[in-house]
Amino acid sequence: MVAIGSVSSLVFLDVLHTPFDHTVPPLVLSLKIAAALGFILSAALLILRRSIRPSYSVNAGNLFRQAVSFVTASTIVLLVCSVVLPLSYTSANAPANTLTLILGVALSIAAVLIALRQMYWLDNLVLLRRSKYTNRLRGFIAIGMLGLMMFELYRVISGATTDVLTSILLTLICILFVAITIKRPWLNSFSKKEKLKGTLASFTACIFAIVLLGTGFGEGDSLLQSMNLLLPGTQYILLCSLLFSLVYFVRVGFSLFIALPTAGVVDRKIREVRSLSALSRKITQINDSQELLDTAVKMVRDVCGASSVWIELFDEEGKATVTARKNISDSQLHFLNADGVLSKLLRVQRHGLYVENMGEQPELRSLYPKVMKFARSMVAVPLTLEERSVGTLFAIHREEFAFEAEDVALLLAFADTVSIAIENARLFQSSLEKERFKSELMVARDMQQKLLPKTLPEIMHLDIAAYSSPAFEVGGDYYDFVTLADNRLCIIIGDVSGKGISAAFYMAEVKGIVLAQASECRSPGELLRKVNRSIRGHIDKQSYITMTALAIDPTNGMVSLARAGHTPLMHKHGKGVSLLTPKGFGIGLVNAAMFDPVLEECDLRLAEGDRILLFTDGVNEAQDEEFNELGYAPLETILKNNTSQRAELLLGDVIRQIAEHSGGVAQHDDVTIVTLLCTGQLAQQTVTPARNVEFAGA
Amino acid sequence: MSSFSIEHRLRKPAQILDIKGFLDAHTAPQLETKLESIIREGGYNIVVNFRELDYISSAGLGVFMVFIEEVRNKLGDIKLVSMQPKVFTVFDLLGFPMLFEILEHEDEAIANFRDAGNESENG
Repeated sequence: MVAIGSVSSLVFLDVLHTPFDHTVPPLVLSLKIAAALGFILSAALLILRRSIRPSYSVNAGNLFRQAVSFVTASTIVLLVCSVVLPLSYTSANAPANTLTLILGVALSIAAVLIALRQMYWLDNLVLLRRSKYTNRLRGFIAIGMLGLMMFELYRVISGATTDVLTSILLTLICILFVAITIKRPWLNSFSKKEKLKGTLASFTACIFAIVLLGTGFGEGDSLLQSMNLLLPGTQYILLCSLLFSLVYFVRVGFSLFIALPTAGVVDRKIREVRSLSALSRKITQINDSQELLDTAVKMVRDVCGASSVWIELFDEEGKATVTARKNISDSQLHFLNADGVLSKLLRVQRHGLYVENMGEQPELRSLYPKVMKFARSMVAVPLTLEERSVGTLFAIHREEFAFEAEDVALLLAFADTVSIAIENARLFQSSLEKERFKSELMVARDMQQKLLPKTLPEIMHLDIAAYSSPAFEVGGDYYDFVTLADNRLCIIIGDVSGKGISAAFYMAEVKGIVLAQASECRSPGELLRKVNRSIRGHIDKQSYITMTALAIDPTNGMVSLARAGHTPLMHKHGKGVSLLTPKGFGIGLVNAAMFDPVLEECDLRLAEGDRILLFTDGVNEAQDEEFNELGYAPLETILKNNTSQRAELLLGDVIRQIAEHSGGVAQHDDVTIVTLLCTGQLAQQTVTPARNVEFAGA
Repeated sequence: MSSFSIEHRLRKPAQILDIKGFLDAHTAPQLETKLESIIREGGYNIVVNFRELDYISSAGLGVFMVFIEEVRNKLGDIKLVSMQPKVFTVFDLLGFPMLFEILEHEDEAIANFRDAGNESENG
């Protein structure tokens, strides 16, 4: 590009001495025109080739400053040059001497470069706030300018008159300039000072553009003559760029000028919006509410121009504590709240307090002598969360009438944001606490899991499986395997009324009692009676424990069963299933005098293929979506149909049945199941007594 | 879970509580509060009508144990009537029929209270 430009410039300079008119041979003329156009085109491309950045990444203020200073300075340079340079032309617009020729060409080249650069800056400004029409308008302007140049060239060469066409085209281009500069709202973001400077700079640029337009383009003006020397028509590049500057800066200058009186208000609004959004952003960043409150008081003070700002928060008893402050001392606060006058007033004025002059406010006049040095006007707005007042935001000023209605509105907006921040911090804190409770519960769950047997008793021809799942983290269900005084294995299943933590505590207590008593009892009935005796009176009136104890004699398959209010035991014998419910009160309901005689014990004999199902009421009361309970029947069916040789498989069938019935409904009660399968005839054998599982902590 | 409600009416010589819905660990305190207030006001002849009670959990059963001793000491009673079979099963398993008078119909309970009243008057 540079090379093309240079070569065409050289050729062009070589043929400069020939004038532009029909007297020149066509070959020389076309060469000359081609060279000039080549030069202009390459210059244009060189200057405009910088890619246009997206408007949001550009600092509008900086761009405007650069553009306006370039346009003004370059216009002045051209103006000075055209006046100062010793250019003299003959009446036929030919250079009178060689110096004029050289200087004239230099001046016109400079003029073209400057004009193109001015267009570049203005173009950038236009693109800063483009609309969907902007690009189309830019194209029209470029075509219009080319047209102007062509007409002029045609006029000079042919001697024809094109004044009317040229005027129409110029008018059209000016209209396009006006159209393309319509969108300029970014000016609003200027501060008052920037607006003032911008107005002055715009008008200065306009004045110089007008002066150059007035002095450079008349018939016989040296600038026009010089540019004709280069290539007739080039003057329209400069003319258009000056017109563009004029249109643009007149518009900008006037709109800045009009905005000047309201600039202060706009400045303030911008500050408000910025500080509020900055505060909102802080809420999400800062978990430390103290830091946030500190930021808030600082911002309020800056934006409202208050002398001091502070925030009081109420604790649970309604006592106010200053949690964040800016520029106010303890003693000053003390003076302000002498005799509780202020807090009393605040309690009445629930929607905030707006004191223009402390000395004239009847309720606060008593404070005035002490506080007049630092607080003569005051705004106090409540911090509210869901209609509940959680604190107050105060701003004071040492002068009367220092706050305006806008300040009150702003403080209210700040108060809302601060309230949200406080709530956020509180929620964060409570979620921490919840986490802690959760982990404590997890510990409790692990502890309770440890209370259940870790191993299953091993007896030849007797397969046992067990399962327990609390509805919540911990529950009141219990099963265990202990050894009685006569060495019989005793299977225990129990359910403490209620669920959750209270049930879990009783469950642990029951486990301890069972372990302590088992080795001294000779029958399941005796064990249950002893447990009732230990528990009765040590348990809430409304709480009780249901329990079934099952003692198995491994030498002959005899089972004795006692039931204390617990769900029935299901026994599959041959093809039939029987529900066994020997009489017995729940443990803890009645005293030994009633409990002991009522408790029955029944016996059954286990044969090969027999199955026993023990469960808590969480099983038969498992509910589906419509609160229908599972009941006993499906359990009986499972037991009847089960032919597997593993107690674990029977257990799995029951668990699956519960899951199918509930169909995704959350388990609402603790579920415990013990299954027992007799895989062969129990006979005299060496018994490995089930180890009594150590009581945790014992 | 589901709703529970209590309606209290007087049918001399007894206070009648009609309980409805689901009586479990969450709703049991309502019944407890109600029974307590009746007893505080000197109502010791209490009939709890289970006709519209759909479900009772172990925690729900416990409520009746809280007051029975005190009421009987005052020569009153808590009688339970019109239980649905599955609700009765729950009471039955725990041995409640041996502790409480569980009757088919409210009228029987009222009649029993009247008889007891006559006896005590006569005695």
